[in-house]
Amino acid sequence: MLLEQIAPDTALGRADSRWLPVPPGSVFAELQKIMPDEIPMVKLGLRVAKPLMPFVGDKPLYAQMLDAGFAVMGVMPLREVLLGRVGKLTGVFAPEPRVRDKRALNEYAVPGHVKTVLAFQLAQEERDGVKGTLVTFAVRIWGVDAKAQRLIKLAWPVGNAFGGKFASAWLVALDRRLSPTS
Amino acid sequence: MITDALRAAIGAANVIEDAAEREYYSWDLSQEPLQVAEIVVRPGSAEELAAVVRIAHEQGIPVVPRGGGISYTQGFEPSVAETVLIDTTRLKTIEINAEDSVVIADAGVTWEELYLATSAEGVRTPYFGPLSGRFATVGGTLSQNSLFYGSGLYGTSADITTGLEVAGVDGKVLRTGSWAHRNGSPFSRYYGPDLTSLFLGDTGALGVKTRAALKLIPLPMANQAVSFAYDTFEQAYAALHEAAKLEIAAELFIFDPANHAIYRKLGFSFLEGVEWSLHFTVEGIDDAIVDASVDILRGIGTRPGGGGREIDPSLPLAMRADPFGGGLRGFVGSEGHVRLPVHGVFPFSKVPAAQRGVVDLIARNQDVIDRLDLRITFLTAITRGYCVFEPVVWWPDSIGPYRARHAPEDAVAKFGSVPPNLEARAAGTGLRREIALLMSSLGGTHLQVGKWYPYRDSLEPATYETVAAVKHAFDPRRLVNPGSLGL
Repeated sequence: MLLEQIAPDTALGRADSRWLPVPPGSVFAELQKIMPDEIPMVKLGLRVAKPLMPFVGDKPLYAQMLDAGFAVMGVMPLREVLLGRVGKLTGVFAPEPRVRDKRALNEYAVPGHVKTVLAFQLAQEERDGVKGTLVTFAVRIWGVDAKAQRLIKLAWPVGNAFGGKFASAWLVALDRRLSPTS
Repeated sequence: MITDALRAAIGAANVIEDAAEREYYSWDLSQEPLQVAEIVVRPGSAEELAAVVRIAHEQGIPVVPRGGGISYTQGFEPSVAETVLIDTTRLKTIEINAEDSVVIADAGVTWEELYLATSAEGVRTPYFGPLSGRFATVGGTLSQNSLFYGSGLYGTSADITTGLEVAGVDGKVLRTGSWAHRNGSPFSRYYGPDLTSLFLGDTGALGVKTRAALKLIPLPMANQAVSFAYDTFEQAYAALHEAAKLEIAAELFIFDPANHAIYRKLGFSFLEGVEWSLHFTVEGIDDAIVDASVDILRGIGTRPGGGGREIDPSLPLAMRADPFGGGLRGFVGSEGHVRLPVHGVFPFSKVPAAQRGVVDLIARNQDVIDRLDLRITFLTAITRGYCVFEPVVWWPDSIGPYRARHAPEDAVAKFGSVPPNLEARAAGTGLRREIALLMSSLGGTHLQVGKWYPYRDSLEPATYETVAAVKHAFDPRRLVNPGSLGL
């Protein structure tokens, strides 16, 4: 998997999976359409943010991630798409120099920064005679230098819990779109 | 009655007489419908398909083969109502022979299905499908010819074909290349005259494809991309041209500002302010090889004086991640416009003239374009050794039966009941035809000729007579897709 190739062994991370009874292409098409208000915690945040930022809820989350500085770091057609960005630990979504590809992400070495990569991984899998796709939403995060890495480790319990809920909610939203009866 | 004979041959459930269903199967995306087939059949095997062709021929009724239906040159639209339209999409067998680097796919296999099946075995066809590969089938694509994924390295769908199996009008099945050897297999296209070529790009005029043999390569494990922004088409095209000659990129294409507006809404906000963008996708067995090619392309894209600056390559990478999802976006615009491409296939030297010609044509029609809310976007893409220049004409109109069934649900909900806009349709289709004639005047040829491009009028008479003689040899009563290629 591309994620394992780019993230060092010291990276912190998690992965959440869900099986869906549809082919990989349908999953890719749909995961890019998930809207912020389909994720409960984001929906709650939107109620607060909407009056101040009227457009924040109008674009799919995937598009907003790209807008927020995530770039596509690598792909395997219909198997995996890897998004990555560099950020400050104190504000992952704060403006930062954008790294535009995998090599730039690898070479970025400004102390005090963290690198985050997200992967959507799809594997064809048959269950009970039904052809489907195991969808995995995986995250890795690591510091550029030792200090950033220490800070990441301190913050990880909160980030891990938040990330888990976010990933699960995204996968549930995907399931809801692709399996209306579930 | 032919209906009874067809039911007996392939089962009553696979003989369709419902009017709405027949309309859906008979009309493509062109917004210029011809006839509605009298009967639609859905054979489930090559043998059933051959039986259908034989039965129809015995009764003197034309047959028209149809693949995924996502085309726009009337290739499968019946030219007469008394037609048996053959939907090939139940033919789904895939036989992978990784040892001999060949896959045999039934005509109804989609490119997405083929990619998923082969990649699971660690292999892939060199050209691996069009943007519409979620719908487009192997049989339909080989009949129309097609390019995009992998084309910069490997050419078109025709270039990767090692053999075909075709049902003739008498119900006999013909094989080509080494597949035709009594004891052979389809490892090579060449054994005596290249009969395979006769059926590639024939838009179903010479016979009905049942199976195809295609080359396989090891699945490239490294995929990277590099993209550039330019102020003018000429600057972008100069870099594209230089890069194309090296044959190191798998996909090479130029997008225009109107395409950028579409993709900005999908999160590619770095395209804000970009006039023309040039994108290269590079693939290989590992990152080191791919990075070396990316560096060469980076040098070309940002050559001093060339006007290029590097931008985020997320767009071509995102397209590769979901390679066949792009066709969906092309169905219906966000404001309810239907989109119809029209293209010319050119040697590298002719593309700038074609682009200027279309820009001039737009300028001459600007009043109508503005009044009826028409739009024109451009895609320029490369296959190995030459270039496809493809303007896309948009206009507000009813979406038709194919889009109504396959476009994204939100688009259908929003625009599914929009009434026909005949004035805009006349202007849009008229502009499309003017562009096609312009392309032809510059020596441009076409993929998916169908019944729409001026194939007959563009050919030298002696050549067309030869094509007609070939048609006569295979189909003396003109019962296989009559009108296709003008035959």
